[in-house]
Amino acid sequence: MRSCCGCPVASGIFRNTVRYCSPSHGGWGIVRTAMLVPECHQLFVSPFACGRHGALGAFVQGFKDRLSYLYIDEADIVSGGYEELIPQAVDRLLERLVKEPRALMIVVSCLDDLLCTDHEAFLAVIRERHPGLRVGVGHMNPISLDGNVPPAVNIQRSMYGLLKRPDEPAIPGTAAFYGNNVPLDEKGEIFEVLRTSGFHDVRHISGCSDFDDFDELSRMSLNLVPTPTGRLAAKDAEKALGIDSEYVPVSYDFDEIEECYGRLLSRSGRSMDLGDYRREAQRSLDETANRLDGLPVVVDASATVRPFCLARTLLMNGFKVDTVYAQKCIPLDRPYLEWISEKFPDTEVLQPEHHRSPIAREAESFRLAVGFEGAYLSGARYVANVANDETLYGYHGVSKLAAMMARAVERPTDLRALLDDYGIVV
Amino acid sequence: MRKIAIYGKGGIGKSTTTSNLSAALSSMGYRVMQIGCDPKSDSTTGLNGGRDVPTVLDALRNNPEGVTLEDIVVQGAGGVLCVEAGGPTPGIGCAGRGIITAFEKLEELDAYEIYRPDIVLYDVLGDVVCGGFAMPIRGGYARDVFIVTSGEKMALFAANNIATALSNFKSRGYARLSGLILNSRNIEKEVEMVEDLAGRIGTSVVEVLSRSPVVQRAEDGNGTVVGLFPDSPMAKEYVSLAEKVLERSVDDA
Repeated sequence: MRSCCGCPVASGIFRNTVRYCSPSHGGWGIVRTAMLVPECHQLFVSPFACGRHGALGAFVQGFKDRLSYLYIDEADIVSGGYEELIPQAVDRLLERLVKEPRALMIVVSCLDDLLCTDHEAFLAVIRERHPGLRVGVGHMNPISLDGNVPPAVNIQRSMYGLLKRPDEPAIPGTAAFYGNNVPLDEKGEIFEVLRTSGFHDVRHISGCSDFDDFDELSRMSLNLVPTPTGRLAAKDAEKALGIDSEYVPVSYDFDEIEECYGRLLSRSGRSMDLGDYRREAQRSLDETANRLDGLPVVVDASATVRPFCLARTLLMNGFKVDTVYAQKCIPLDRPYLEWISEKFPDTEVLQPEHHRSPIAREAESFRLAVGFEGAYLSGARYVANVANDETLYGYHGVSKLAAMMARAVERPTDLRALLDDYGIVV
Repeated sequence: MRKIAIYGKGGIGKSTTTSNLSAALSSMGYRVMQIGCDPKSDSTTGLNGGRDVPTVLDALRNNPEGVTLEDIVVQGAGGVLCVEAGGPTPGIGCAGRGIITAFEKLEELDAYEIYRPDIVLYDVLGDVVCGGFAMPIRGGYARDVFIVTSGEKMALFAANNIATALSNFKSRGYARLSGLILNSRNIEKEVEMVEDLAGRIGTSVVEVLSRSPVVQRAEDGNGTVVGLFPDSPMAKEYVSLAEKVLERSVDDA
């Protein structure tokens, strides 16, 4: 396996270098993710430059009226006085908002990591002054990107941290998904598996019409976590709300999918024949592989949290995956990376944020890219419109992805239009 | 679990007192963890035969993603679990942030749940000058603070500052001031001066530690008084201090 650094897998493909940020880089971001909480206003506290990206994103994504800023300066920071400014800003904000929010997310920047701000201290003041308001703290702190609790993970904790332990018991037969910002496709077999397991009412935060609806997530019988991003939030909910959780990571490996469903079904002691779904996924892969007829494929981590798992499935089924773009490899995906390095040593693994990426970028190539950033960097003529595994899960997810890949090669893709449509703001 | 922070002016003898306190508590059968929160990283050398304990920040520098508890927790004399937060390169970086990072790493690695110490002692450099140095007294960390002081003006001044910080943070549920430890310098009217300060800040003197040459001899021997000279009067003073610290601290277990 070749890599951007020319180093073998064992000595580490993934290097920390000066980071390059391509025009296709980005995703949901902290502000957009936290906007999933209905009737929640965000107060962003930071020096003004730190607010630029979120402000532009909110404008593009249509959340401008739910986002406010408290800009702080050097004097506020070094004196520690800005902790006092926050409750004052909340008072003023609540006076001015036409519709009083049910919840407030105070989003702080890397500064707070450096200053060790005691958030609980100012939250206590705000809660006392505004007892009806649910208030929490979110972190827009890229300083933690390489740590164990990066911003995308932390914001999930902050969002679900707004839930309170309910007085009423859990609602039987209910489950909620944590961590995936877009709900899974309801045509997926996972919903049948869940029904068979006794879960007839399966919810997602995006389906909550108002804060009361969101609040009811505190009464679920089970939380399902299809992406690593939601794991800590679900663990918090186990402790704070007493809701059991099941980690069911998205996968493109048939055996792993089967094992995941097995665990879900074992909760109820029931079984289910998933053969038809598996065969359909296989048929879709075969059909698309035939359709592509050896067209090189680029798999990119902006499309899936499991790029190596997906690449392996494609390679095993006759696709010619020539490049995988991934800044790092999560532990769950490591065995798939190792498998690829052993069986397909010519498949390149490139880091999209590597400083050489803009130099190595191809303006145009006759390839199909699965993922936006890989599309930009490889210049792929065709792009499958997939981001963050959205809507994809299980055998149905494999079938759907294969169909999207087949559709993508029907005509050259306008990548800029795809990026705009997805709401990416650099 | 008792979580206790030892504060005081730099050079007043916090690390010596804390290490002897750890050794005394350990000799009483308690499982003790001592966490040095000083960029000099010398809090626990007396419990480790004069050897440096690898610091959390150094471990993070060397292996950012793969730090394990075995890398940063060293079992010292009497089984005391020794941790040094460490600090930045002198002259650059931020020592306060270093403490925060070290604490976060210990939590992330479940240090307290895995080692389950009966007593955690935080040995904290100097004054509560910023958020990082206040970290040990925040919710979830130390519940009780003892301040080491002598009768010297600067030591009393620092003790007063620390007490003021604790008082300011009272409404936040931070640690409480549980007493002063007088580490004698044998200056005139020393006990009276320290007792006077104690009265003004609403606390009392827990123990008066004598100025004894055996302390220096123990340091020269790369050990603690309690470990090397257990029958000395000074060792008995440390044991007495340990008993009083136990009486005055909260067991959150």
